Amino acid sequence: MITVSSADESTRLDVSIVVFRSESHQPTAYDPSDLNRIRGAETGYMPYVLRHHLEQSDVWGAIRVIPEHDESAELLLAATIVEASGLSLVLDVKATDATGKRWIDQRYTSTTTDDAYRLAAKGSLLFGDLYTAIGTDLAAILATTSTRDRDRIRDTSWLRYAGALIPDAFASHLSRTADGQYQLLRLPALDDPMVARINRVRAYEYLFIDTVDEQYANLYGEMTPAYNSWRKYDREQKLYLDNYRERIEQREKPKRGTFQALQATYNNYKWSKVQEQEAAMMANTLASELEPTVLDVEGSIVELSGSLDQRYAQWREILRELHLLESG
Amino acid sequence: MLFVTACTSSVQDYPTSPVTQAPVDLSGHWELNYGRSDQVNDRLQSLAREYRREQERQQRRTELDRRRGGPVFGSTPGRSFNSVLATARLADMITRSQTIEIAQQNPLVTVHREDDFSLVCDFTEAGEELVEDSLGTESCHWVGDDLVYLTRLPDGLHINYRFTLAPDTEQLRIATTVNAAGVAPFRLNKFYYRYKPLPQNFSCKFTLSRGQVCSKVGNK
Repeated sequence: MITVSSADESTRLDVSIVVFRSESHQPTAYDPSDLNRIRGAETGYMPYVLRHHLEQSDVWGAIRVIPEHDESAELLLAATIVEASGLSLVLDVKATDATGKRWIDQRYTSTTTDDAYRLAAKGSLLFGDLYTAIGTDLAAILATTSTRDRDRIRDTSWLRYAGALIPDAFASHLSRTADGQYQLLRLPALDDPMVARINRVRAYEYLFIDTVDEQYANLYGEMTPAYNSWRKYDREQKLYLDNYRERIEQREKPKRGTFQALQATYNNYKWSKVQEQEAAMMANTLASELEPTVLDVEGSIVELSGSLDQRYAQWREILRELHLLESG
Repeated sequence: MLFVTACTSSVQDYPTSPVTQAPVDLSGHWELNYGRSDQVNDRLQSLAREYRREQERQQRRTELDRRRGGPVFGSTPGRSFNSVLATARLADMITRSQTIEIAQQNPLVTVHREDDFSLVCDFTEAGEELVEDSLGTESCHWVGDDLVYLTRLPDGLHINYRFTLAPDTEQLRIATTVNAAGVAPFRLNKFYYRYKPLPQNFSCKFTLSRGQVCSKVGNK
């Protein structure tokens, strides 16, 4: 098969990790607006951690974190944060290639150990086993994907991208089956001038994505120290409260109606509230600390996306006119 | 009279009307007014006198019943007074905050108390908040112009805080009623006056990445 994509000659697939979604609804004592701000930051932070893990395996092409779904990605990874706390991380992960084949649709769960935060202070990644598991699963599927199939994925990716730019020119190159999979019908001629033009546009888009990706790298760098401190505190606080409740259950109760009994009942509640309120304060501290970085990153991405959208509109128009001229 | 009389002899549910807009603004810094506030010992001495009188009446009735040869109904008032003493000590213990700070920004009212947890009311939904926890339940509502905060703890221990702002808005009364199962409710009224904290030269805030960070007030 002749590939039309402009990537190098290797058969490595590019991976696009779309910014995660958050559906974390576990009950917390945190202020909802603080929690939303933290969840918002995590949706940009975690894809970058996953990217870092995938890069280490050295079996993929370019790995990029992207702000929005890209249907034409060679391999698109999307995830929903189901739970994120200092104790555990739960992600629902979906990976789909450009032909529509689903590689992964799975829930990944990880729980931190006592040692995790000590090791994190020395540079180890928290919940690393979860990211490693995703990487291992993807690599296992990649290993069973033949070179021919990889080429087919890359060509389909290219044609879906081209079809989104000039639907009239490439609509007949792909067909879609009832179950949503794309089938490659034919390829454009390699000397078709439109192929070179599409490749130039795509190269520009990669440039844009790389700039966006740098923003997520900034977010990761800025966020890690405070976020890890907060997760460490969050874990300790949750364990302490669980332990505290257990101790209350086991403790011998003073005689009912006495001051000691009333005092114990009140103090049990008081300490659990003090802990909760301290945790809420820490969440507020983290949210406030992250806000300038998150706003900066989001602002840059909105600005970049806006200018890219404008350019796309222009390119679409120019390419459509060129296609009309060339097809007579 | 400075305050509208509020008869909170028990912690029964109050008739409430859901309000999303707070009827009064309690926000500010408040310092305990010792002179006007109830002293737990005075209250206990008065209760003890009342109890002794009741005990004497009870003894006379018992003596009379015995002479008449009828049935004798005894009671264990000693234990009951010990229970009152227990609720009084608890009431004293939980109303010791010398200063409190109230932050009120619709829909939140937060009462920061010295050496105790903050009472937080979030009127986001129907004008009333209910928070349940395995160690207790708390609810909050406005009764007229008063803010009422009720904590229900295990073993029938209920604590009710009622905040009443004086018409001149410079004084605040917190009526705390402790209701333990099988014991008459015990209420302590604490009065606070508004004060302005001294201006700070430095503004400090805690950060997760750099610890405590202080900057001189006025510096950009």
